[in-house]
Order: sequence, then structure tokens, then C-alpha cells
Amino acid sequence: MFGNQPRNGKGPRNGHYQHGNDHLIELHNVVKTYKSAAGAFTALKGIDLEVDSGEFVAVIGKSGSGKSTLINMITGIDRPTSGEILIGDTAIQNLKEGKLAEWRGRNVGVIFQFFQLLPTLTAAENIMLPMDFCHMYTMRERRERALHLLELVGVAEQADKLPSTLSGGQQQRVAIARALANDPPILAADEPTGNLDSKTADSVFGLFETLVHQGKTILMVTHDRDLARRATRTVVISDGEVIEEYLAKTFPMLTETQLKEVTRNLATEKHAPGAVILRQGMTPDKFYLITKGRVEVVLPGADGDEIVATTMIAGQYFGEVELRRGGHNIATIRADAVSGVEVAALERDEFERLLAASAATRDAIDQVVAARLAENQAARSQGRNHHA
Amino acid sequence: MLSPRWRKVVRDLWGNKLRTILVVLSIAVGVFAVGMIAGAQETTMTAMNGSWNSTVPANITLYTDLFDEDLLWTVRHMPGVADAGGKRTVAVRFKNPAQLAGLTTGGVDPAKWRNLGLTTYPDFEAIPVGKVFPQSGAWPPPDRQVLIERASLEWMGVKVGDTILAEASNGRQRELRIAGVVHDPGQMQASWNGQAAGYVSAETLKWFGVPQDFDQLEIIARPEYTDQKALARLSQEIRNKIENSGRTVYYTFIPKPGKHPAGESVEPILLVLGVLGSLSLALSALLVVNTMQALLTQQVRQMGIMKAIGARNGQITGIYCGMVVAFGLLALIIAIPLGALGARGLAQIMANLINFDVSDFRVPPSVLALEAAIGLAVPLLASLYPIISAARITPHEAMSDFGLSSARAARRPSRFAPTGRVAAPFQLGRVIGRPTLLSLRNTFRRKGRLALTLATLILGGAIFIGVFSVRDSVLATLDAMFNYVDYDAVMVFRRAYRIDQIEREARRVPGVVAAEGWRFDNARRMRPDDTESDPLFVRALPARSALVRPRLVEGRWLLPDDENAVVINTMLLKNEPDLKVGDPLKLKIAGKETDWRVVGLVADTPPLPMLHVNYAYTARLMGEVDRAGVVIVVTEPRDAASQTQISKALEAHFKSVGMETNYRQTSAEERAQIVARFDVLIIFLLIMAVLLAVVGAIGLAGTMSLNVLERTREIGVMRAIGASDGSVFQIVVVEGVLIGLISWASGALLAFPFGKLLSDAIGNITMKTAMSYTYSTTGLRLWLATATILAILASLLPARNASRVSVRDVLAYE
Repeated sequence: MFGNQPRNGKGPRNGHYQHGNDHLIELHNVVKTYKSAAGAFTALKGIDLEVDSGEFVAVIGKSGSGKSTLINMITGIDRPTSGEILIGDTAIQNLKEGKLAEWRGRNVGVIFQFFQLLPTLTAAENIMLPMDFCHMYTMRERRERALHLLELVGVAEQADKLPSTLSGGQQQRVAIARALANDPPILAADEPTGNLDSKTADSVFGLFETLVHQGKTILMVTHDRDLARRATRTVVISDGEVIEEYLAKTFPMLTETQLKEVTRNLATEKHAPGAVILRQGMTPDKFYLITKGRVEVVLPGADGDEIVATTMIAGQYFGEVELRRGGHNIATIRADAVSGVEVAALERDEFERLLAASAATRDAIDQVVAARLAENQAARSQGRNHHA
Repeated sequence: MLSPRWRKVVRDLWGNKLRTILVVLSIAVGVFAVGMIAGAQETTMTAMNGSWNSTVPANITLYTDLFDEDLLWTVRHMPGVADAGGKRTVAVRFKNPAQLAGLTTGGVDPAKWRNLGLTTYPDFEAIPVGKVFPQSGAWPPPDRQVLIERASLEWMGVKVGDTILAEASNGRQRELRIAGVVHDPGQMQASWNGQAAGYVSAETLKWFGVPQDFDQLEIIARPEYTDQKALARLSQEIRNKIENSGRTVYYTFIPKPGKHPAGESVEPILLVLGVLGSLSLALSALLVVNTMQALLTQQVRQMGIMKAIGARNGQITGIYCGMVVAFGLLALIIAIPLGALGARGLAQIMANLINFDVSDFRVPPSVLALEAAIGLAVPLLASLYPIISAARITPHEAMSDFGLSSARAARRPSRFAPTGRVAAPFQLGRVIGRPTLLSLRNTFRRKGRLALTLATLILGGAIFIGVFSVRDSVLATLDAMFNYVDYDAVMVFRRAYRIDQIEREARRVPGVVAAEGWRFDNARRMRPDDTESDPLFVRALPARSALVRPRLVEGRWLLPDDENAVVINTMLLKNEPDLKVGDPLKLKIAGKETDWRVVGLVADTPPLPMLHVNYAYTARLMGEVDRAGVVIVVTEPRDAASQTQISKALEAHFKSVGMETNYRQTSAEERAQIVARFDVLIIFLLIMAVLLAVVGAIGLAGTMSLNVLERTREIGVMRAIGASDGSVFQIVVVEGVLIGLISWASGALLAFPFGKLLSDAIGNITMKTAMSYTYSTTGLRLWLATATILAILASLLPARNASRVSVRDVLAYE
């Protein structure tokens, strides 16, 4: 019953949406600055983000990091100071307020920390309200749908009660049902479990997982890292900047400031399938972190042919052995022949500065270097033996 | 089935009953005021003119020498005359039964004669023009008995079956039994002109020694005589016919067809009330703006939520406009019946004063339409801007403005609030106490709301004090009027006596310190267009009179050598607006046409059209040299009781020396009679002032409730840090009283120009001149008490609610 494409478009044609975007949600260099008596405050500092249909994205960060602002940008609740937000076929920063509201009503279900049910309407009426505003379904269907959604979220028996008579968990379930009222492809939830006890939070989260399973795309702001781990993807935001997801996962010993700094210095490189990124024998000058796709580690065979010693996936890195040990590349690294690869590259100087700043990271990388050298040695001798 | 958004409107209305009641009352007060006044206006004018027309009022009335039924027959058959009636009214004086028994009733001096006009018709069963209607008792008037007009009964202090003693100008006294009551829509309350109306047969008049003939000819013109000019032509033809018969026509009166003569006085009063009603409406609109703004502030988050789930600006605007329309409809449900009731009461008061019946109290459709338009359109217009502004804010703005120090509050530091650096040097908190300091700061936090609340209260206060100022101005003007002739009693003789005799005899009475013999005559102005004016009062007095202190507006006062010089008063300009100082003036006095010249204009005289002329010249002109019919005396002491007692002694003394008096009045009595007329107007104005005070109180109650509601969280925090019930209560009540006091002080200032405007308007309506303006300190004090009490009352409920806020409530508030 839940479609997974925005209603105002027909989904990507030839892999692209109307504005040339490949992803359901794309943010390009989004900046949001608030002006107040105390001066200007930039909450988002040039965010780039892509979310695909069916993803369950947890946005995490400290209080005041800009995670709610980011969600508000995506839902159109707030507008960017600059930058572009493409949701399906819609560039929402170009929509006027009225159109934006209607677009939101049909395409994004918003869920708030404090539930935000209208206090004078019953649970069922709260769910019928978005249908009323967006002229969706007939009057009779609205009630039936509201009851169905309440059943789906497990609070059908509360249909005709006012929000004040419901528990926090029940209210949040009603709020989720309201977010689903117009069957939007995207759900955006700002701290949906922030006001719930852990048991109720767990059950609400389970509901989100079911919805993702049914094809919904969910963006959820949370400060609960345990819950975030259950999402299919985590976007870490710090002081208005998105921290490279795999960087944070791969080097958990880095402080948030270090992560932010490194992320800022990372350059995204896309390599077509089969393209060589590092060639054996050459002198490398970058450290590479795989963010999407795979690479193949290729060693020369004895008869001059190539042996794919191993493949590396997102979250793994390469180039560190040569940068730490010195000398030439010990293997050729190339983009996977099918998927290609996207990597985040860090210049030698920045890499060295990072290791100088974080001894734990240096030690961890050095351990990896030692292990890889051993692996490489083993592979090479295995290749020679094989040839013999 | 209602869609969820309209269900939200209904539940919001029902859910916050106090707020709904406040908004509904705010609208209802304005609609009520306008409905009451517009309804009264319609009902009064329709019933008054209907009642007047039911009498078949004359198109032309001619006052002539006596005539008989032959002349009546002749006039009836003149071309252009549809019908004609004869009538005679004879002035007599009377004492009522209690007076006869020597009892004092209703403050009436038992020895005092009062005026009664006895009217007779050729045939009471067939009065063709100016009909009177039997109400109870006998009809037609039996011989030697009298029927009393219903609006005279109370003033006379009599009832059917009583017997009065009446005395004609020829001195004949007769006892008349009151045989019944009639209604003559042409007669006003007897108390207004100090003369009762009675109806007797021609035979009864004969019994008094008065000839049976008639002296008023009342004409109904044929329908084609529609305008004043045609009627003037017809009246001239009739006049010629009468004068050809050897009789004199003293006066011709052509009223506006179909309109009650009192209409001219009633309309401006209703107009002034209408202005005040419109002011109430304006205030109620301010209240609606205030309450709607607060309501919208409370609803901003919900608007944000609705926008977040897909509502467009137009839909949000629609929801809240729908809410306003619902408020308007609820207000109409209250205001329309109450307005009708008010209109009924007001029309009934008018009916009693002017002596007509109101049979149809239904609210005219035009008034209903006006009320509906006002009840729906005014609140809608008043709240459209706040609604559109609120609907325009983005969902993010709508949902982010929360917490104790919201961005919005932080952006607007108050210039008036003594905070931080401002307060510190003065250590204000130590002097007045922290809770009071908090009240002081709170007062200025919502400046827009404060401004609207203050506007309502200030205007209400200004009108309240202004109305009292009108009353004080009336009294001050009366003081000036009575200062104009510095007298204590006036006595009218049955015939003229020698002036030196009058003055000598008067001075013999103990307590009389000064006496002057004057002439009082009635005159009519012969206008350049050959029409005649209403009766004008001529006072012929010595040019060097010690008793007159005229306040000259223009020109000069009389000189001893003046012959045909006349000094007019401002009241005369009400009827004869074209007259100017220096103009020639043709007057008809006792049927004799004489030429005069206006030399001066005086103000602050009693509210009658008056002419002052030189006694010596006038006496000569009238052939009564050195004779006077009136004596004006000054007494010592000058209090009301002494005036009555000395004037009685004077009357007795004159009688003892064979000088018959007809009428006496003290200045205190005359003053009371005039004050009574203004009191009616003042009562109406006070009703409006009280209404405005109520509007102000509703406004303040609304503001305080909204302030408390908005500060629930803050109050909870105060309780969390140890504020007692009493402190919280005090903070709210002091804020309310502070607003009350600010409004009082500002209202007191605004009352000055407003009161002047109102008193000038009323002065011009009632006496064609601005009154001596007096700012009412009584009004000022009374409004201080009223504003303080209203402020306390208006703050009590919100303060009680505030003091009941618990910390737990606040935590659950989000």
C-alpha cells in the first residue's frame, strides 16, 4: 500500500530524476544561516547529502549540531539560505510556501519529538487532517484509512480519544499514523523516540524498520547511537557539517573535531569500473577511503598476468602502506569492474598531520600496514608457488 | 459530517470557554450598542410619527381672535381645504386635592398654583383634526368635569375621581372633578413645560365665564398641497378670509408634514447616542483584534503543525476566519435579543417622555441586517490582518518559538521596563518589592496588546469622564443662566400695575432686598418671506436694571435711550438662524406689528428664544406707560426654602393690598425644571458610558487571562523557585491595577477634549450655543474608583488561575 516514489514525479527515468539527480534526496552545498540580535549563526555549512529510496538514515550529532535543521531543510519546514535540495523531481527550495505545504503533505510525513498532535482533535481526526488539507481520498475513505493506519501502528482502540488521554508511546504511534496519512514515500522524524521510555522507543523503532521494509525512505534525527546503529545508514553531523560516514566508522578513535577536519580535507573521487587508481611501482601521494562500490587489489602474476589478490568494500582504505612505509605501491588498485568505486582521498600532508594528532589512529593504521604487508608477501609467494 | 479542520474550530471554541466568552462578549457589546440605538431610533421614529399621524395632525394651525362654527364652516368649504377643526385652549391655574387638604405631596408647595390648559372642541365625538383619544373614565368630558391628559397625571399628582380647584384668569374658581384620562399625542410630559393639559366641554368653559367660541383653526389641506410653499399660499388665503371677517390672525404654524414636532429634539439625541454606540463598536473591534492576536499567538504552534502536515496559507486563514465568523454568530445570538430589549427600553423611555405609544417592538429588518453585518464583518475585518500575518509564518518559525526566552521575546526588549542596568542604580526592586517590579515589567512585555487594551480602557474612561463633564457643564451653564438674571423669585400679576407701586409693596415684605417691575410679552417674528415664527419671549426691562448681567456674544446691551433696539439670545438663533446683529426685525406683539433692530446677542440665558427690549419704549408702544405685569425680586437669604417662603409671603402681601397674582416661581424651581430635562439625556449618556466601561473591563480581563496563559510556564518556574500563591496572585493583580491606573491617567487627559466636544455638541443641539465647559472632577474620581475596581475584578480570575499553576502542570505543558 505504500508507494516509494514522490507523488509529483514518476520516479527516476533512465536512472535520473527531472533535475538530473540520481538519488531520491539530494542536498547540494546547503547553507542555513540564522540572524538574531546576537549576530548571525550558521547552522548548516554547505551540506552535501544523498539518500536513496528505501534507505533508513539515522542523522546523529550532538545537541545544536544542526541535525534538526537538516531534517527541516529536507521536509521544507525551513528554507536554506543557499544551496539546492532536490527531492525526487522537485527542487523544493524553489517552491512557494503554499505549494511547499501541499507538496509536503503529499510527499513527506513529518514526525516530531513532542508528537504535536492537535489537542482538540481525536486520534482518528488528527490522521484525517492531512488528507483533508491535501484533498486526498473521499470523506468516507479518510475515516476508514485513519482507522486502518491506527491499526497498523497498533493503537486502533484509541481512535476516538483525545491526545491528552493517550500515553506518550500511543501519541507517537498516532503521530506516525498521521505521517502516513497521505501515503508519502518519505518519512522524516525529528527525535521521534526522544520523549519515550526505552521500551516504547524500541517498539516505535521497530515500526520504522517495518515501514522501511515496506519501501518507505526514512530520515530520523536521534541522539541515541544504539538506535542509530540499527538504521541502514548513519549521517553524523557536527557543527553544521556532515562527517564522512565511513571515516567515523573506520576511525572511531578520532575526536569529532578531528573527524570534521579530515572530512573537510577529503576529496571525493569517482572511478569508472576497471579504472586504475594506484599502479604498482608508482609513488603514491594520497590515502583513500572507499565510500561506495568496491576496488580490486591486483598483484602481478609470475607470467606477467594479473592476480586479483583481494577486493575491498566501502569503509576499507588503501594507500596507507606506502604513505607509512615509504617507497612504491606494493599493488595495483583498480575500481571494481562492475560497480566502479567512489573514494574519499586525503593528501599525504593531511594524512600525516592526522596521524601526528591521533596516536591511537596511527597505531591502528600501523597494525593494518603490518598485516597488509604480511598478506601481500604471502600472496606474492603464493603466486610464485602457484606459477611454479 | 464536518471535516476535521472544522471540527477543530468547533472544539477550539468549546475547549477554551473563557476565551470564547471573552471574544463573543467583546463582539456582542459593540453589536448590542449599535443594535440598541439603531433599533431605538427606528422604533421611536416610526412609533412617534405613527402616533402623531394617528391624530390627523393639522397641516396649518392659525391662532386668531375668537370665531364661531360659521367661520369654521366657511373655511371648511374653501378650495384646497380638506377639513378644518376649531379648538380653544384656556390657561387656568389649579391646586390638586392634596394641596386643597393642605398636605404636601411630592415636594409640591400646598399653597402653590400651577398651570393647566383647558381645551375644548366643538364636538368631542367628531374631532376632525388633532384628535385626542379616550383612555379611561368618561368620554366626552361631562359638564363641570375635566379629563386629564395621561402625561399630566403624575405631575399634577391626581387620579380619576379626584377634584381639583381651578381658577380662570378672571378670578373665577371652580372645583373640577377628574372624570377620565385621555391621550393627546400632541402633548408632552407636563413636567417639561410646567403646564398640565385638561379637556373640558364648552359648557364647562362657560361655567368659568369664558366665551364658548374658538381661537385655534386647524386645517387639513387637500393632498395636492404637498410642499411648504403651497401650504403657505393656502394659509395666506385662509388668513385673508378670516381677516375679511374682521378678526385678527395672531399666528400661523405650518409644521413639517407627517413628522412629530418633538422629532427635531429626539433625532439629535439619538444621533449623539449613535456616535457613542459607534465608539463602543470601535472599542469592541479593538478588543477583537487584541483577543484574536492573543488567540493566534497561542495557536501559532498548531498552525506550524498543520503546515507541516500539508496545510496551505489559504487553508489556515480559512480555518481562523471560520473561527471568527463562529465568534460573530455566537455574539449575534446574544446581542440581537439584548439589543432588541435595549431598543425597547430606550424607545419606551422616549415614548414616556414624548407621550406616544410603541405597539410594535419587533426589530426592523434593516437593524437586523446592520447587526448581522457588524457582528460578522467587523470582527472579520479586525482580525483579518493578524490572521493573514500569523498564517504566513513558516512552520519552522511557528514551531521554534518556545521556551522561557523565546527569540521573539528576546528581540523586543522593553524601553519602559526597568530591567538590568536601568533598574540597578535605583534598586527599584528593593523599594517596591520584587513581585511588584515583576508586575511592572510584565505590564510592558506585550506592548501591542497593552496598547490595544489601554486604547479600550482610555477611550471608555474618556467617555465616562466626558459624560460627567457634560453634566457638570450643564450645571455650570445653568449657573451662568441664573447669573444672567440675578433673581430669586418671579411673580406674574393678573393685570398690569404701576411700577412704583409694585416695587414699593414688594420691598415691604421681609426678606425682599430688591424688586423690579418688568413686562413679559409673547411675540412672533414676521419673517421676510411672510411666514411667522414660533412664539418668542419678550422681556421688557429697565436698561439700567441691577438684576441683569448679560454675557454679550456680539453687539451691545440695551441703553436707556434705546427705542426699538432689541437684544436677542442664542436660543432664538435655533429657530431664526438668519438673524444677525444689525438686522431689522419685525415683531407681532399682541397682534400688533412693530419694527425693531437687533443690537446685540447674549448667551447663557434660560433655554428659550428670548428678546430683550427697553421697558420704557415697549410700555409706550403697548399703551401701558409705567405699568408692569411682572415683578422680579431678590431675597435674603437666597436658599431654595427661603425663596419659597419669601415668595409665598410676597404673594400674600400683594393679595392683601389688592394686587392679584397669577403665577409665581422661584429660581430654584425653574432650575430644577431645566435640570430635569437634561437629566434624561445624561442618563442615556451614562448608560453608554457604563457600557463602554464594561467593554474596557472585558478587554482587561481578556488581556490578563491571555497574559497568564502565555506565562504559564514562567509562573510554574517561579513556583519551582519558591513563589507562594500570594506572590503569584499579587503579581497578576498588580499588573491589572497598573494597567487600570495608566488607562485612568491617560483617559483623564483625553476626557478633556472629548468632554468639550460632547458638551459643545449637546449645547448646540439643545440651546444653539456651546455650554460653559467644566471638566468634571467627580467623573475623574468616579472613574478612578471604577477603573481600579474593574481592574481588580478583571484580574481576579486570571490571578486565581495563575496561583493554581503547579510545577507539574508546567512540565506537562509542552
